[in-house]
Amino acid sequence: MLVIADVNANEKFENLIELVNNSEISSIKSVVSGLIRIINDPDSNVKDLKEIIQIDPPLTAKLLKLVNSAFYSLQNRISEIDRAVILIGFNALKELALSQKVYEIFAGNESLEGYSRKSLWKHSVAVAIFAKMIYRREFRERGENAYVAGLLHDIGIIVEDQFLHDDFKHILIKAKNEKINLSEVEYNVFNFDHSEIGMAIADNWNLPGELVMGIGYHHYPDKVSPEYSKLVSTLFVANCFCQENDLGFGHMPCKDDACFQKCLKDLNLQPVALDLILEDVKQEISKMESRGLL
Amino acid sequence: MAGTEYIEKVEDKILPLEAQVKHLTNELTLTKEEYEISTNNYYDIFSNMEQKVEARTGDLKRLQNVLEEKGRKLQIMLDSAPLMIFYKDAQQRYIRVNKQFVKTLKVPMNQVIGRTHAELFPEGKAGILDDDFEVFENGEPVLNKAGIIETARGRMPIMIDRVPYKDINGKVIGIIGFVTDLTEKEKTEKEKKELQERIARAEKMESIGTLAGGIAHDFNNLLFAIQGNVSLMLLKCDKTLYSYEKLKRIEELVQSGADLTRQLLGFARGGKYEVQQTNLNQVVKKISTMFGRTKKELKIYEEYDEKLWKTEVDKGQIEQAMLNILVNATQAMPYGGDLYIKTENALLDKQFVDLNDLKPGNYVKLSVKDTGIGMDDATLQRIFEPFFTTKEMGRGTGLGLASAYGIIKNHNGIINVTSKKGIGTTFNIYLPVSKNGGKEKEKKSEVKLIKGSETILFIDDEETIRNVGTEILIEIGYNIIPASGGKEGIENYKKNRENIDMIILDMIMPDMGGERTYNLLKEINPDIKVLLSSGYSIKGQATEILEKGCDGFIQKPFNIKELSHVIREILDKK
Repeated sequence: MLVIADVNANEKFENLIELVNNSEISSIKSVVSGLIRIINDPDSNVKDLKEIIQIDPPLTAKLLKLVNSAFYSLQNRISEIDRAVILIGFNALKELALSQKVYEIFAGNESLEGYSRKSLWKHSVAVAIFAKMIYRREFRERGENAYVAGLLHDIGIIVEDQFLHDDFKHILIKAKNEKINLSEVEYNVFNFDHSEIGMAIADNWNLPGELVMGIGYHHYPDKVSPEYSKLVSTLFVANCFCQENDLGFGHMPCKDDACFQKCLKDLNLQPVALDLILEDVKQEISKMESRGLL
Repeated sequence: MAGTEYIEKVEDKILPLEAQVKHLTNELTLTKEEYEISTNNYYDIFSNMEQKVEARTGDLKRLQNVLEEKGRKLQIMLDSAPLMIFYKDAQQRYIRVNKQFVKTLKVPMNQVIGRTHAELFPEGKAGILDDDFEVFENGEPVLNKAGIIETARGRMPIMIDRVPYKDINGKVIGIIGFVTDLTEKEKTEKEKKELQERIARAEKMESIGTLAGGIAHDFNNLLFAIQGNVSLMLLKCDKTLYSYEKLKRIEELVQSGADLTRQLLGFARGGKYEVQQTNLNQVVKKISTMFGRTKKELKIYEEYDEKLWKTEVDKGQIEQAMLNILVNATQAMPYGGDLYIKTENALLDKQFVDLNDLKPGNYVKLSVKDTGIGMDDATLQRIFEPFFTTKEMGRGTGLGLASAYGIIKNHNGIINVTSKKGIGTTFNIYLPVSKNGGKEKEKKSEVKLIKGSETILFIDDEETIRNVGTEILIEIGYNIIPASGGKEGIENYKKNRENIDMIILDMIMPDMGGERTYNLLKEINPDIKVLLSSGYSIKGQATEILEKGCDGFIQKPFNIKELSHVIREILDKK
């Protein structure tokens, strides 16, 4: 568990979360949490999805545009979300909707020290797909939360980038130069790290517990309660594996190898399986890139 | 060792294959599940849609039925209208018309819809129906526009109302037209106008009649006084004297005057005094023979219905009426011509007699046709008015035809005239057929004065008449008890009942009229002998009293000899 000893740091953290809650990051809250609810509800249908999306006309327009232009060349352009589901499938549509919504807070051009909003977003999508594939292929589970957790796990970094920009630059340089884990540098500087920020936000958004824990512990699979260790471990594996295979951001190591091996063991994952999945994730990512989704 | 190495190598290959197989299996399993869920979802959506489509289709069908029903009702309403109704769109194409429209223009309904008027009738038939410009231009209704259209049944006078049909922006997008057929209305109006004219004419005649009657009555009394005085003077006058000649001349002139007033009275419906069942043929033959003798330049063609029904008339009056008509015909043919006289039986229907306020049934008809100069309409309208004449001043009295009119009217008959300028004129007279056998009377015309010695109660309100009458009667030998009115007459009768042999009773008196007096006298003595005397009587009154058993009638002014004969006749009757 994290222990925040510094009272100042604690105050600073609270202020930061307060700031976030009043910022545009929170503007995606209702739509994102609504989408997550649908993703997690096996009985949900396209009508529910439509209800969530239609209160967000820009999102609706964007989805329709993507469905119309990127995925298929259609004779007749579709103009209704419930037609879109017929074309790309309900699951794909749900994920597309969520990713497009979340992407709104990842938008930005600045890049520094191997980090950019774009690379962080690409990384998030890759981790999401990776984690989901592990669930599906290794555990024969749908892995909805693995995908969502993957998308949101680094949301704390966006907060740092946005609200603690100078410190964040410093942290990036330090992590690169000293070749140490990002979270460690964050602790040194802030006395909290991006996973803690992400967890606070997820909690504030009333996301399901598994997601809150997944986001909050994605660097600490050995510290989470067993109830959540499967998701957290998967997220950890996916995160590290992506970071090390050209699907990361910045130039910092992520891997605590012992922890990684333990996770593989706990999850009963073969390295060869990760290689297979990585190949497909890369394919998927390049496909998405070619479709303009990243 | 090579074996172990080989096995390791194989294992290296097997491991990813195993993983791949596992991955594919899991992915397939999940995909299958998802597919099943999706399928179910799709099925739900699809069946939902199907239901929706079904519901919508049902709604549409119902709506269509409602619309069709409304359309049918509208068409029934439109078709029930006696008007021609049309609705055109902005391009002036007929969108809807009613039955009357297609019937009148004789064009099939399915040909009309969707076509413009010009397309329907390239030859320009009923072009006024196409004249919508004003309504489209101004967007205001154009009402009561009159016109004429050619229809399958010929020329039809119409009136069109055009109303613009506008969209919400006020733009005219169609036109609704109502076409009223005015044929019947025009006919009715013409008839109404004619009837009004006829009534006005009748009323005019009526008032003139009243006026003429009044004048004639007073004038007649004056003549009577003159006649009476002259008669008395003649009785005392030596026939060789110059004055005798002049008195005789005065008597003649009085007689001419009396003839004039008789004409006037005839027009004024002075009453039929001597009604007899008559064969009109005899009257007509007599007059036409007499007339033919004096007018040699005329060729008279006579045609008599030998089975002519009998009619009840005052022969003298009818003769006079016919004579007047013949005189009129002669004057229309100053250089001679043909005169056609014809009698026949006629059955008049209700429509014919209604205009004359008479009863339908059997009538006898007399027509007199000349080949004279004829009359124009203006003259025809006034032909029966008294004192209306086309002759130069002094030649005619203007009373002849008026008198004929009055006489025929008074006989409950009809007289009408048709004429064409330059062709000739025809008078038709219709007289009702007699219902009961009227009493035939032979009129005697004795010229000798017959004296008597009985007592006569003489009732007359006019003092001059009473005085002259009394003098005359005393001269003839009678005892006279005069009375100035009905009441006094009755009193006098009660007082002298035993002495009075006969009563001479005037018809028109202010205090108590002749009829009432007669009734009261009859109550006192049913066998009483009464001679009715009048110069003028309201319609039917004299006739009624005569029918009640009055013994005789004498018309004023009477001459002394005539009077002496009538009195004698009554007194000698048993």
